[in-house]
Amino acid sequence: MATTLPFMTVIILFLVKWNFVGKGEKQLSLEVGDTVHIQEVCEGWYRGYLTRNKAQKGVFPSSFVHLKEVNIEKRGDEEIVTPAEMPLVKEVTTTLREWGTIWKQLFVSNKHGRVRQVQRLMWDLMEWRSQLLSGTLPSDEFKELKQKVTSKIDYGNKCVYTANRCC
Amino acid sequence: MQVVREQIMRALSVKPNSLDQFKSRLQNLSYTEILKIRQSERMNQEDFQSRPILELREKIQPEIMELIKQQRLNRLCEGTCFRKISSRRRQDKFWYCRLSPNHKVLHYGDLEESPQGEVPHDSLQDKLPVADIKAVITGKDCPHMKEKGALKQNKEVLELAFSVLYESDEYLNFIAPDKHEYCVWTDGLNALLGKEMTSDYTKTDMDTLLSMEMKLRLLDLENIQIPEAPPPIPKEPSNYDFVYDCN
Repeated sequence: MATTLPFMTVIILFLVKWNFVGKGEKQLSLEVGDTVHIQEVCEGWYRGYLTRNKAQKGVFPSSFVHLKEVNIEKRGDEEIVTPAEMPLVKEVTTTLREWGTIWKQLFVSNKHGRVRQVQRLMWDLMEWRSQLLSGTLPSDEFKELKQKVTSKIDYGNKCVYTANRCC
Repeated sequence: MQVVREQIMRALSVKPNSLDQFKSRLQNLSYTEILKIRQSERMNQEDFQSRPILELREKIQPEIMELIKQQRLNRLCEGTCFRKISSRRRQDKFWYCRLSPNHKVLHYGDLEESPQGEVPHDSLQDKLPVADIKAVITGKDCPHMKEKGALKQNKEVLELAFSVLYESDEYLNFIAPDKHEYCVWTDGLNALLGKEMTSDYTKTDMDTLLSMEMKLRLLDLENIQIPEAPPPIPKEPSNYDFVYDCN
């Protein structure tokens, strides 16, 4: 029997751990590293859509995805589910991907100096993100790191989005 | 401080024989270097050589190659100032060549002196339709490298020389100002001819762009174990309309 999760108020987030090539229209192809929202479950298959593009949807084997931790919040009648990921880590991930798009544009338009600038910013942020996720930092260093990360995001946004070099 | 400690540890690990060697090793391990080394070590952990990741890398390679091609062609549209080297050095002349915005024509012409910036294509006297180009030739096969004289002996110049063959036997001969321009132009011209871009810079650009792209895609997989073998694919569901009974 199909198990339908409560309509639209509970979204479970999964992470793709192996590439899946869908056969036919109803199956959704997956690339390792992608995240998917799951809506329904049946016979070892999930139905869902790609987080990065809601228009891409379909079914795929549950064996190809890995549950990310989730939080379920009850707000009045609604249950709000958010990944248990640190909000700061989530912000860094989003920022890195946005900067990545600009970085490629800078490369194509030959702005070599800015390409290097933005690249360095991204490497720094990636390194710090890994440290935040490592779980090995003592709490003082952890707090310090979070502040460094926040400043870097602010600074980086100014650099990346203006026409002038600033670093 | 952590980074300083790591710098010292790494510098010591190569067992320098003198204080000077140690100092120079330390200098090479700047903060940025340490960050890069840590990053690449993270990338080279077993997980990142796993099959789905290698598969994904291959899958996105063509779209990255397309970016490199666009960049090369944009550079050709900006144009470059080349030197005509003659055996009498005092008579070196400059000429400029640039691709039209629609990628259909190469505009070129002589210049009185080295230009300050881009030279607009309407001030360049000659043009060569890209459709007339038959081949790109490089190095010692170039006609201007086969001529007798001092030019032929200069190895440096040989590595910067390329020619465009048009009609059946007409050549436009170039000597690039440096290796970077040589790579950009030969890549760009090959791309215009629908051929593969094969310069050293294509490889390094591909590496840089591809690794960054992969890192961005795999951010969420940090600390997650990738399985060693492909997961099993279950039998297709008896009914794709899950909402209804799917006995």
